[in-house]
Amino acid sequence: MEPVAKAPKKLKLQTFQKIERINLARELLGFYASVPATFLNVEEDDKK
Amino acid sequence: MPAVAGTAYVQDTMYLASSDKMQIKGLNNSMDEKQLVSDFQKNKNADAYEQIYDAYVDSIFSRCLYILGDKDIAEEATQDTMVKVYYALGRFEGRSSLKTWMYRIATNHCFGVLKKRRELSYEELSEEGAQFENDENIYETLADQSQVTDVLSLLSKDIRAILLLKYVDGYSYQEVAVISQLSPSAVKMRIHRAKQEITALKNQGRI
Repeated sequence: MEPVAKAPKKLKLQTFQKIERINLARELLGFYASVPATFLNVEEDDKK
Repeated sequence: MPAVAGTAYVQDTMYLASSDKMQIKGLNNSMDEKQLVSDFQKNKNADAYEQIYDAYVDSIFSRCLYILGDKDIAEEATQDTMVKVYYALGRFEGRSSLKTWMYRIATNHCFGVLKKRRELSYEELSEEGAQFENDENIYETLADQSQVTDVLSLLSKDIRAILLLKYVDGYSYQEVAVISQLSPSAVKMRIHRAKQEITALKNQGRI
């Protein structure tokens, strides 16, 4: 059995922050995927 | 051999937890484990995940250190493993113990890290670096912001979302991969295809 090393305490905060960031980004991904292509085409909108 | 190097490192370092200073943590029994997993699966209970994290992070870190033999790389691998555990825990069916299942995730991840490091240590490093550099310049090849919106509107939805995450929000390939539930190589491939599409559009005079 391999010896047990202690994980640094900072790792916990970093891991939870990363999860939070990914959760937020997944929401963002859903949002970007839902934006219609025409919405991004600003010049087309200006012509209308 | 990385495993031997890792063992030597663990034995020599201040990170070695001597038995009189540290208790080997873990959950008290399988009922605790089942309850926590069930709490997490029902409503993504953060407290349940935190208890699982606290119980097993040292064992996971030890495993990563043992395989990788480098403290910094092992820390990163532990973090990635615990993030993977968070997103995969909803699918954990209890066919093995939670610890065994987490060990498997950590081990597979570490082997992936070793493989990647081995690959990068050869000539591919310079080629891959050049490829990354080209990918980073997608937006710089476009004249202005309005051209960017034009181009984005011509690309497919999934490629557009990946480009926005990478170049507008500044996420790394690895992070975009986790967010979009693709492999990092699939993300790179899609960005590469996007670049080809953009070049084709430019050649056709459409942008």
